[in-house]
Amino acid sequence: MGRMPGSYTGVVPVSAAQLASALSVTTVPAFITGSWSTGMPVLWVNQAFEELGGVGIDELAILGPHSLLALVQDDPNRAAAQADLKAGRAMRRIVSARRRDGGTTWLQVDVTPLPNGDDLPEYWVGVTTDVSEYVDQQAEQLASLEVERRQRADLDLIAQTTELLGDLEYPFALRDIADLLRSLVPWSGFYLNDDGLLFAEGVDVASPPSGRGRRHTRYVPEDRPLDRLEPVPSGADGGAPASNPAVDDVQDLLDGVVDGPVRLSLEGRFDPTSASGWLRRDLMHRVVEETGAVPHAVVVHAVAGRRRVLGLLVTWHGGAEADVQPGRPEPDHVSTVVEVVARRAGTAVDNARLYAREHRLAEALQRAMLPEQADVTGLDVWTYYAPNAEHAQVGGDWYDVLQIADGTVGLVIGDVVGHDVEAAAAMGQLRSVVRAYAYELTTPGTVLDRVDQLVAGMRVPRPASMVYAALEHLTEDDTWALEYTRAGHLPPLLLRDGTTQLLSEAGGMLVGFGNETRATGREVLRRGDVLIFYTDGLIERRDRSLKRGLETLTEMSGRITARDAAGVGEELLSRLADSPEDDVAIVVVRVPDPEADRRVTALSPRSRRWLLPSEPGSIGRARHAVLRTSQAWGLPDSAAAELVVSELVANGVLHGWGNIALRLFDTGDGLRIEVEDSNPAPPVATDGHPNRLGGFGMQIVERLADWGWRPSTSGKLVWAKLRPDLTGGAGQE
Amino acid sequence: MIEIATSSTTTTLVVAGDLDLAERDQFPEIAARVVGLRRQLLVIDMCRVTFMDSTGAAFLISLADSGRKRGGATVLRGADDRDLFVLEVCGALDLFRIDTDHQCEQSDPTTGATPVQLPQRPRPA
Repeated sequence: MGRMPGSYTGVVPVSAAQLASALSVTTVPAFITGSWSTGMPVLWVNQAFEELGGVGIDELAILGPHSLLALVQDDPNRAAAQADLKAGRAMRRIVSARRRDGGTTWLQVDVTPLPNGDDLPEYWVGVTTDVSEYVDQQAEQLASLEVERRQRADLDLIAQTTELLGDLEYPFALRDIADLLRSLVPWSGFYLNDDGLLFAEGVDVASPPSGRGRRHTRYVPEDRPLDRLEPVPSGADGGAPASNPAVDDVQDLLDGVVDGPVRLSLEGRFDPTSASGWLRRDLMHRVVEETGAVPHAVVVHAVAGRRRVLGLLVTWHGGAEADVQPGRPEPDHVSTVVEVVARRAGTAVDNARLYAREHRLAEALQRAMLPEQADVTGLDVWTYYAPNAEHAQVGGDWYDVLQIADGTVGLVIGDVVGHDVEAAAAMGQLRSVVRAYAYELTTPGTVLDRVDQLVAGMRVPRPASMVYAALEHLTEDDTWALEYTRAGHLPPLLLRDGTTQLLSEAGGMLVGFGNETRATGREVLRRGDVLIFYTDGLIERRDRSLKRGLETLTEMSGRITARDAAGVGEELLSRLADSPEDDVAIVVVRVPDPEADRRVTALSPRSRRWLLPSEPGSIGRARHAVLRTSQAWGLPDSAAAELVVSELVANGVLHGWGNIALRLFDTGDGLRIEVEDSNPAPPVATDGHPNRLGGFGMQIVERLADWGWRPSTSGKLVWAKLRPDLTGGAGQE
Repeated sequence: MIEIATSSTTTTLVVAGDLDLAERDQFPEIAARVVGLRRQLLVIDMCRVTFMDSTGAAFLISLADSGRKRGGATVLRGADDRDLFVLEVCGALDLFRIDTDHQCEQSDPTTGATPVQLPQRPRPA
């Protein structure tokens, strides 16, 4: 060790020689180099440095300029450090170096210039510290943080997927899920197999849970330029591994022969009509179009429902797929996420379709069984039907209003014992039989005779009671001739000038039990007369006898003041059907009295209700009801009310389930309209589903009325209160 | 009920009755026929429309929109204030030229009698 030029002899109480030897025996590896411009030659190293680097000063000298760099394996930020050295500033960096034993060690290197006036330093002193442990620890931490972050991201992705799958009516649910997956892989997409594979952005819930069929070529579009990418069959073998046209992995996946996922080489050659061939062609177009890259292979997961595979979830893993092996097709976590998403999508699609199918079936059957009201000319008719059963929209009660001919109207009310599905089925049969004969023969006794005959042979499983009445308009004195017959049913009521009369003639046994000829009762209806047909659900209560109930009904009816059929019905319901224990069906028929109706203002409650079947025809009837009620209550601006009720009922028909209940109230401050259906989902506003026709409906309502909705016992109730100050609202530009 | 009449330049659509969800089934076919005629001008006669809601408006809008895409125009005549209000809420008034001068009076074609004022529907105050 020579004397160190530039050291400060005499400044410290330790001699320079002692300082030099202290430096050389310290366990901290240290070195001294020359200036940057001379290539920072290593001039001196201590023993610890020699041990660390495995090289002495002589070997380093052989390596020439920047010889220290030869020891460095990896240097994450060399450029910044070099800038410091060039400028003569101290620098610190962490580098990795080869250890003597061949391993790698992380070193923190501190290089400090020895002061040299204002000039650039001629000497640098360097100290190195072994920080391997710290670096490794940090790397581990980073790695575990990364794993954690990824897991969280994966979970988050799956959670978002689940949310999207919750609303499969949204037409782009599958597209959005595929978009989510594209944060993991460069491209992904869903295909559904409904007798042939088809790229799917959403789920057509109207189609049955399929997964059957393999007519994939049904969906082959016209030739596209990229079809050139079809591999050219080469004479020599040795093509891609999946080039055997007989192999159809994708079809196997669809058939459930293999569980998957399978890797589909897009360079293979397939029968163009096979699932693999179809998918290969479709993928080539899509992936090239959407990513600009030509895929070589994709991974295909089965989207499985309960019974069969409904479709495919295809993921392309970018350029790295060359490494993808069939056995272990993709990085673990990606594979897991894609698999989970595929499985959830399968279950959701299956559920949505099964549910939609069941729902359609139930709706169709219920609609077929629900009572219907024909609009009859010359009479004011109001009907009401409330099945008591919680879960079914149909019960054993029924009514029918039939326009048999011009000026002839048939009225039926009946009750099959029980209110379960079997009762409903028996009701459906009886209803058809009565209808058929009602159109043929008008005299009620004769109609019921024939019904008896037929029903006796039909083995209808339940006894039933009914009233059949026929009304014929007599033009000469503008009266209606009423004929009726009863089969074990409660007598209809005739309300005339504040008195109530029970139409109790022509009674007989229950339907199907008549061994005597049925009788026919007769009456003549004048203007202002009201007929009330009802089933026992209206008056039957556990805490009182039927006789007492009938007395109550008669007494109540005598006090009815309403001058429209809906008003009469409303008064009946508000006073009697407070807590019905059975199905209730009511038909109110009123012969209009144009002169008196105009003069007299009824004191009946200003609320009305209608029960409408969920069909487009009900929208017009609802409008008609609003119009009539507005007139009866003397409310202005029925035009806006008509528009609001039309939109609300149309929404109920389109998106609701079951019957639609319409209620109108005169709040004294504008008309309040309530529309209730059995779908608990909130009304469809114009958010998120822009492609749904009629999305402007609620905007129209909003312009004309205050509105809102709330859950009701069996579904939801949407209400709207017309703004009285906006009577001029319609037609404003 | 919807009737289609056509001349060399104009397709005329005469609508009568309610234009709501109950009529929706016939909309696609009528739209296809109107588009197929490829006339520059489409006149929609609303004189005898008794009611139109957003579903009916959506139908008219689809007609006007496909006409505009081909560079054609759509004239709406005989629409009452409420119909215009519905179209306005749907943000579609710009798609139509509104014929405000049209008089919804018709003479009885069978008898050739003097023009009869058809019963007018109630209009918003």
